[in-house]
Amino acid sequence: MEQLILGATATAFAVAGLFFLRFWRDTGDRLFLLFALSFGLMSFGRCGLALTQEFTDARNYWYVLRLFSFSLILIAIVDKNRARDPKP
Amino acid sequence: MSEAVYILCALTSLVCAVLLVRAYRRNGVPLLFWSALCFLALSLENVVLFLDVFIFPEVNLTVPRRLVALGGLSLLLYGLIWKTK
Amino acid sequence: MADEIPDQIRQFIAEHFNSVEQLEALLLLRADPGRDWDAVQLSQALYTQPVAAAMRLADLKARGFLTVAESSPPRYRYQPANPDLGSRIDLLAEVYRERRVTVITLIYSRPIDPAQAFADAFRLRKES
Repeated sequence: MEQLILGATATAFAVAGLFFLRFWRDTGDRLFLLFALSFGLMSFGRCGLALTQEFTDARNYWYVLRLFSFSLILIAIVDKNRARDPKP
Repeated sequence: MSEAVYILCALTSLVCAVLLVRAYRRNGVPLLFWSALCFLALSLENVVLFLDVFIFPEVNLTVPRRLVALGGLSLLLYGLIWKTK
Repeated sequence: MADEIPDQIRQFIAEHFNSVEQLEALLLLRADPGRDWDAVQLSQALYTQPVAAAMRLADLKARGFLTVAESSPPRYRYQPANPDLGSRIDLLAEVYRERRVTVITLIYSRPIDPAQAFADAFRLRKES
């Protein structure tokens, strides 16, 4: 059951990531590229979790991946505001 | 260390949700509403993950928190599929 | 009949214009094509913040309406990237002079692109 949920979640992350990739192509906004990368990483992370069911030690590196994915979103937001904010 | 990560992830998602809601109230674009719900769910997932691991280690919240994430993503996909050109 | 605006202009507006201020800024620079403008001068002419004027100029430049001299601060000049663009701006300026309300309505009723709205949601500073 847990693996089924993880698989579905991984797919959902991947599909949403592909949508962001398309938005990146359509608008040329880097924010979407970073979001797509982030969602791609999340998808990868869920696959990893599903494959390593006994996550005693495994948790250690899966949370690093999670940190990385969310950092990309933070970077995207910062980048969005820096790029359009001409400082003297 | 990992507890900080879960909190940071929860906060990041929450910031996304707030920004999306703020914009949605301004322009009424439905995609923003569904995206905001998704990020709210992802934020909640990280909060529950934190509770699960550090506050209530004796209770297993794995399935509920994963369902929350999946539910949030389903809403996002609904928005992406039906509310974009 | 009075409200008839060429399809070419409707499309041009939908593609490029999201605020009346943006159009006013463009027409202001167009009115004096030999003049260089920096953000402070434009902000004084339009009664906006210099930061907003700087973003406005950079945006108009990115759309191919202006050229920029990379000085500090950067100075912009009206010069469409190609003659076709120039003639469309000329036509829009004429339509705007004659049917101002219709053009303004068109700008405000422009359908918002969901992807663009998503990206703009993450901009903390509010832009008109």
